[in-house]
Amino acid sequence: MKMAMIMPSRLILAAATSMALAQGAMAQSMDYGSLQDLFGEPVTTSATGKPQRASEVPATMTIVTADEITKSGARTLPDVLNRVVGIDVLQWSSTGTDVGVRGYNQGGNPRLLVLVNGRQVYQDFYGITLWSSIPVQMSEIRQIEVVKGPQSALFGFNAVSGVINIVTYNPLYDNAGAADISFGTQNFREINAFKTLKFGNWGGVRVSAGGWTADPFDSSRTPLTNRFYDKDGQRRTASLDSLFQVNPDTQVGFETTWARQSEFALIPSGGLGMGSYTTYSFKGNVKANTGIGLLEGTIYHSNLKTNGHYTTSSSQINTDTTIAQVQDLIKLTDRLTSRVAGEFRENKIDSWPVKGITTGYRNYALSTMFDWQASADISLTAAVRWDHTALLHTGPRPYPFSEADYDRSFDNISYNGGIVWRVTPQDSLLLSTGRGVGAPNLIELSNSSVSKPPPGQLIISGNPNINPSITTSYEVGWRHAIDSINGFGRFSVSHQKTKDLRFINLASAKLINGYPTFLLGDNLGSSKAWNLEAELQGRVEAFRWNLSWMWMDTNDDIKIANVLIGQNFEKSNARNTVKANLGWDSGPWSTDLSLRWQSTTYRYLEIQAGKTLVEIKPGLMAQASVGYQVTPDLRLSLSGADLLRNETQLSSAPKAERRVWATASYKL
Amino acid sequence: MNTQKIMAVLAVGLLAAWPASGAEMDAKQVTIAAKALGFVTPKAPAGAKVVVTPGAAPVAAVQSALSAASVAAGDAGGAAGAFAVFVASADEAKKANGKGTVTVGNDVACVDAGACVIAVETTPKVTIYVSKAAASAAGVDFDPNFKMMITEK
Repeated sequence: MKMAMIMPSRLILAAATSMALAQGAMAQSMDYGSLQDLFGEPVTTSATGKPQRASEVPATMTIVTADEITKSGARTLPDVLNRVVGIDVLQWSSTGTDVGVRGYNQGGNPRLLVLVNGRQVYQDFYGITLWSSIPVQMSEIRQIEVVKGPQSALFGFNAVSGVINIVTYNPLYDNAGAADISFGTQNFREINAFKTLKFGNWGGVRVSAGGWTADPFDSSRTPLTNRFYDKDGQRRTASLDSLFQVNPDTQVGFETTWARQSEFALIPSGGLGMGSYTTYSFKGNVKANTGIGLLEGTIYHSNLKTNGHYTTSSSQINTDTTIAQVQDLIKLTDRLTSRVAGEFRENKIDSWPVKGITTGYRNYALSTMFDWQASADISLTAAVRWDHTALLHTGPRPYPFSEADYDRSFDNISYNGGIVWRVTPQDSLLLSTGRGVGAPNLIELSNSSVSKPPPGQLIISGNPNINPSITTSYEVGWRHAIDSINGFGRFSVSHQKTKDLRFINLASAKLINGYPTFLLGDNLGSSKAWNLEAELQGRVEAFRWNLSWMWMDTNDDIKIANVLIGQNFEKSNARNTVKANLGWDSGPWSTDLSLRWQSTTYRYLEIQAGKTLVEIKPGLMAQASVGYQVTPDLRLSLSGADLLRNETQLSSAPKAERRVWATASYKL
Repeated sequence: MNTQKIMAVLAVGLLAAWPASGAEMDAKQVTIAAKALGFVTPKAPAGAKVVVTPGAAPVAAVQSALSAASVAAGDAGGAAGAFAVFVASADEAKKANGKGTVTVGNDVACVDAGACVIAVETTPKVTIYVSKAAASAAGVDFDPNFKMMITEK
């Protein structure tokens, strides 16, 4: 689903009036809009770290443009991503979702790296992405970049199944703004706004705030689910981003964000959970164009506080993450570009309910990337990263473990390689491989022991001896541009294998230093899968369309009964998924229809009586939107999801109801 | 020597003797070149002078693409002080070269010769060529991200 972006009319106007000669400040930060306007296609840095055209990246990538987001009518990121081939969205409730790339999705999916303008926004307490807490409004997104396959060599931990980079309008380059208001079924109501404010060519800020509230689904209520369905799903976010041109060769930026969400979703073991989450972040960034390349330094800190209620327990979590990154991107020769980077990361989680114990790790990483244009038709990319991770623990002896167990460090190598061969002007062949590292998350490492337990007492603890999960992937892809339909066809075959899969093991106690112990993180086997992806996309006159199919064959080798860990990837990875997106534009009208069909899958649901395997047979699913541009600044739309039935079984959670909403959007 | 060989020799001779100039840029090439000029540093001031030599590009198309500039037809030799000069040959580019002047060629060969700072192709896809030697001689540079997406020679 590659899409030529059509900028909002106000941006086109701004671009036209400034026209070329007065294009704005010297761009140490990439000016996505101007470069896309120049090359006639989206541009990205998400494949290699180097600015590239979407059609030239050495990775399987989909870029969803702002125009597509607008015309989809979607009010959430997962509703947009659900249209992309290879993406799997689990809809747990009216607001709670998880997103997976090429299978292996689950409650609290810890295999996906999500970025906003390069800042990691997944949450380290379990490596999950809280989609409603991502502090961007739909209207302030320039594009969403989906890179499939392991990308750890470039981005580090969690980039195991893929990377999703959300790129917003730039406060220094873009003149953009919008206020949106929506109402819909499930008593959905949303209001949000964003605006870029420029100070000549030397600085700009982007401010953004908004939120929505929605009732839970009424479907399939039971006394158990009612405990979690009493509360609305809520989202509140605010952010301020700024960028300043301090001299012709240097830019400085500062960003702060805040978000709060509460929603019902399933936890990794298959249990029900109602959580409230509050996050904030601060980020500083400096970029300089120097004689030794484009230097960049970034430091940011984020905090997460959660309050979770589960079937048989509750928890409060406080985590802090600090990341410092430096990199140099340099064009060494006319054909060779290199990126050298270093990263420091400190992750900490506080003990609960008794305070005073901190568990976490410090990570030090070095990486490099080379992109070589070997000839006019062949380009090669190679990237490698070394991570050194040292655990940390402060407080009393972490029973059943000892301080010596937490005095541990481990090293990991990740890599990416790719060859793009432009066989003809219309055809290109992509060969790629990657090794991704799924680092243990903070819950898997945590320990909250405050005193010596009586001998033989059952203990629940994180595991300092857990190993990272390692995913290796190999892919062959072919892409053929089809001028007659203004589009392309694409086919790829890939194989992925993950070893040392990590699970919460609350069923099979291990004897550790004399204590039977349930481990919150346990390496319990491996899994491998073949993927086929086929995609055809075109645009003919007023029609735009995209048709895709993904086939997946999964083989697990897990050392414990699936029911005990609540996961069975052979059954939960859909064997076939077909998606069709069709749009038609006429004058002020735009229409958009997105159809999905997925073969039957099975997932575990944990209820008080134990775990049960739920058959998920959703059949054909549909999202649709009709929009009308009332004035150049005002757009009205009516949209919906899961439209074909009153209730659809989309996951192991209670069925999802049909959702319909109306939106008014006014450009600021 | 048979007739075919004679024709081939004549053809080579004619090509060698022909002035090194390409066809006049079309509107799409002009638009792309104008957009590429937006990535030049230092930036052009408002109302910057742009000269278009005969056969280089349609003057109206250049004026349309560079609405903020003062565009005029002229000779390469009289382009002193211009921010950009659209030229039809490497020889013209050499005449136009001066500090701060970006020479835009209507043929990639002009960049290959190190005479033009920039030239563009629009088929089968947009490709931008920059001569590092010509850019250096002109005292201009380009946006660092832009430079990583073009072909430097």
